[in-house]
Amino acid sequence: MATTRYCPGCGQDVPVEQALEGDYILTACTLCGLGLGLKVASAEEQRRLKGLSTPPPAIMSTTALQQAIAPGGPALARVGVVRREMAVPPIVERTAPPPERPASASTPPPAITQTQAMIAPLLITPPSAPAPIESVETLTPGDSIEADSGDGGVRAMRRVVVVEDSTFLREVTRDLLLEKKLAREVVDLPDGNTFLEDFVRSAAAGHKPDLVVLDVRMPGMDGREAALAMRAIEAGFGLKRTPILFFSGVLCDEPFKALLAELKNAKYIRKAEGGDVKELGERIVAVLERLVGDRPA
Amino acid sequence: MAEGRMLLADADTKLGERTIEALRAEAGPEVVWCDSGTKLVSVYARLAKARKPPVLSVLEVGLGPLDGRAAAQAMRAIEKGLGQPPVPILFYTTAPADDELRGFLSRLGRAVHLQKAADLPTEELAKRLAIAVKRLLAKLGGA
Repeated sequence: MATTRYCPGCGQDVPVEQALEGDYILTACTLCGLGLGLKVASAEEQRRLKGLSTPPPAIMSTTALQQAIAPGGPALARVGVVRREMAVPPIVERTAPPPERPASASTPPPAITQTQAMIAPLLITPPSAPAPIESVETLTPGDSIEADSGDGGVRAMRRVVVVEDSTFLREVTRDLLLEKKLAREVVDLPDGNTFLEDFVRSAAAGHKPDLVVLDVRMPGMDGREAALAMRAIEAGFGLKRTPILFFSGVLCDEPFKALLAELKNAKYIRKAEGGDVKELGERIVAVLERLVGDRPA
Repeated sequence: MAEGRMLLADADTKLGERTIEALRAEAGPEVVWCDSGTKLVSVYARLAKARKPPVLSVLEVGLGPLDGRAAAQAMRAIEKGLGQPPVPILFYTTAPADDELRGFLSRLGRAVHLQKAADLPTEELAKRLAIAVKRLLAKLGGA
């Protein structure tokens, strides 16, 4: 079913596509690939997205289901249709609190994200199986979906580099990141060459940025080239990939979408045409929530 | 003949192999061949970080997905970021150098251009490229 949804990256309503990721449906923008939603897939939706037309198999009784998957566990408020041949734990709804994550001896468990909090109540896991929260990271490869922090915002990043040849937009972005407490330090640079130099210097000193915001069109080395070179430097230095957020004045086309996939983890945001700073700020926050979820605390 | 490593970046595998063979005919630098601009930058970054930069980088301008110019600029950024001197660069193209390319080379510093004949067979092209590299290395070694 063709449908549209607002994409904060593109800044407008866009056609969306749905893909099955394990037991979940990921809804993404068809233009820039930004993840726009994640929900538990029903059996019917799983069949539809797998291209199957066969009718649903036999239905397990609610009593048998309770005994099979949650012996001694909390009572189920409501049980849905479950396919017998499913290899993964069935999806059911319940009213009990989400299962607790297994405690780690060395590291405390990470805070439950908004997405995880949304999914967790919908899952029941057999005591011996891995906790469902563990699998959330694998649902959207390269498209982390997380908005962490107690107040529903994004955790402040230590260092963000903004590379933009427009002084106005560079300063606006810097102020916005600081004002919204998205970053503790923002370094703004006017071109790709200066950025790479700064990146190498900071990486060699052991404090590379948590996020790079790159304008696409810049004199000298443009944003695409700077990003490709940055990935090559990261590979040469043996560093983890730094998330990239591209600023562009045009809609994301197929070649650029392919570039985003190659540069993963990278996202795109279209600049507001009318210079609406507030609207741009809201979209930056929305895209950041999807982009930087896997950065270090 | 100079010792150390030399980077050679060209998407044409055959030309790369023939050039390496021609350079190996005499005792020369170890040649590291890169088939893309990103590979070149990656290898260069690794060597520069280890404080073992190449003695020369030879690159075809029309590389992909990062072209020769962008790769060269990235190399210069790595050098500045690490506080290292610029490594000589030999660019080669099928087109003659125009004012724009000359200006670019001037801004880049320690860079020269070599025009390659488009109609030459690969073996001949590789030999000529190897001769140019040897001359440049001899000049650099004597400087």
